[in-house]
Amino acid sequence: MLCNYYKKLRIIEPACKKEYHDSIQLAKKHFKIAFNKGNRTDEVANRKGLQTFLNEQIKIPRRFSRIHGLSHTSLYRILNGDMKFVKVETLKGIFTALNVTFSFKNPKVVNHILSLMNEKDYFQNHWQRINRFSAFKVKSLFLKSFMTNVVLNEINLSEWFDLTDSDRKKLNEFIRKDVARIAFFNRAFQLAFDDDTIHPFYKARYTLVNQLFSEMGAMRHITLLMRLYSSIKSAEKLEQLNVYFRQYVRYSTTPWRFDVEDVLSERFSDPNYAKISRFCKKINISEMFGYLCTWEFEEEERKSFLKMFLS
Amino acid sequence: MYTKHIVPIISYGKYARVFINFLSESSYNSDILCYFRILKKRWHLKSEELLTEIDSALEMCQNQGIYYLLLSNKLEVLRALDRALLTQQVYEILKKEYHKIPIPYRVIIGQSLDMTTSSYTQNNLTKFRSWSDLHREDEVDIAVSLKAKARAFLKRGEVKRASKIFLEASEHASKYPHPTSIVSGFNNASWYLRKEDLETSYQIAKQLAWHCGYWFDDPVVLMNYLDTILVIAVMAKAYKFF
Repeated sequence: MLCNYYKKLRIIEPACKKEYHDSIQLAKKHFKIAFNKGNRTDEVANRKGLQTFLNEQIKIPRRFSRIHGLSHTSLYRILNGDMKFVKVETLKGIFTALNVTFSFKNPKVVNHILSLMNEKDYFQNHWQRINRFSAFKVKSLFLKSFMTNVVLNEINLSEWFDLTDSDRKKLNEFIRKDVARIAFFNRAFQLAFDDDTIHPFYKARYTLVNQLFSEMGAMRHITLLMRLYSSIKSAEKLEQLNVYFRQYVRYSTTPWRFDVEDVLSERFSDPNYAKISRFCKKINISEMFGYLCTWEFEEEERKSFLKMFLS
Repeated sequence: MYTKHIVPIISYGKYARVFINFLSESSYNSDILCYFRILKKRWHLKSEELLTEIDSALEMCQNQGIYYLLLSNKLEVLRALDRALLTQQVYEILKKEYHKIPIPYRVIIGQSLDMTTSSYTQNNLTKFRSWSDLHREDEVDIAVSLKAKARAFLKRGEVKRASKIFLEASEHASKYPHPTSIVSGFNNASWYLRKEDLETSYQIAKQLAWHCGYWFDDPVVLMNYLDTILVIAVMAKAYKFF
């Protein structure tokens, strides 16, 4: 959970930075950042923490490299810090041999590599199951996962949908190329079929998204939603959409202690009402709550949301 | 729309924001509009500027119910800004004039007074009231009262009992539902218990995380609760929960 929210923490508005200083420090201490050379994802910096960790684990390097078939020279250069950047693949080999597990005591780079290893294994083990599904079902899984996500700028849904429709082999290659894509695929699978491994925060969000899909029901309604999502490129606007639909489920399922119809009786005089109502009918959601939730946003933000929503 | 009709809406706290945004554009009542403007600002940031704005709104206000709502908002801003003397003064005014407050507004203003006595430790404020049947019908009011009770146990060092009551408060708030009260109940229950019973605290933190995901989207609001989740995950060595 944190790895996603940390990205939000870093861009939190300055007024709140002081208030959440301790959380930010705690997050920084444990967040799984790899210190890459020129942002390369296949290498990590060989910092003191990593060297100390490995030196503690590997008592006799020569013997260790011989038993596990690793290059003694490379291992020696990693351990004494001569090698400034280490290939992720090399570290994966060492960690597998050492049987390292997740721990807060590990340097964060170690946990980062372990997480990459886990994600890759999970993807390889579960790809086949998803691959058997129809294109609509796979796209639904991806959309639901996207609507549950915190960080949206790493995934281009339109590309995912196109490849799902056209070529599964290419989709597999496309996912394997990028760690964020692997993580996204895994999340989609876990949310649908393996929710014991999911953080409760995402489970709750998925509950909301599932309720929305149940209400929309027919494939033709959900297809329209897929089209809407794949037509939007800006992560900020996609987040607005996600918030809108989550709020829709919350508000439409709350047993309000006042007459919502009565409170919203003036809605018909809103010049946008008819358009919003038409769109809600198309995707088969309640026009009243669909309209109400457009008020999640105010003034200019609402105008820009409606422009996107009704385009 | 009659002014008193806003009470059941605002009793949902920040969860009523979409209704308030809508009514802010469709209502013509200047007192209601002024109150909504202040309420939205209070949710965002409690500041000295907001206090000045509330004072000028109080001078202009024509409606008695809105006047007391504004005053209870002032009380909450003063409490957040830690202005002890002024907090006590406004608290005493509201308490003394409680009988003058129009009936539909009493429960919500009573909650504000209750929260002040339970969470404000700077002064020895005299306890506001015992319960009337009217208040017992309201789940949020019960939750507020339970939180006050839990805080009293905390002050006496009875952490486990306090934590249990915080959870009860969350249960009542869920029936309304009042998301801020639901989540703050889990947050307090988990946070205060962490040193005495880490395993239970961790289990509650999981429920806290679930409710955060269910009810909230705004990262700034979530930060308050993320802190509890992160600290307890580290203490419980639950890396995956982190």
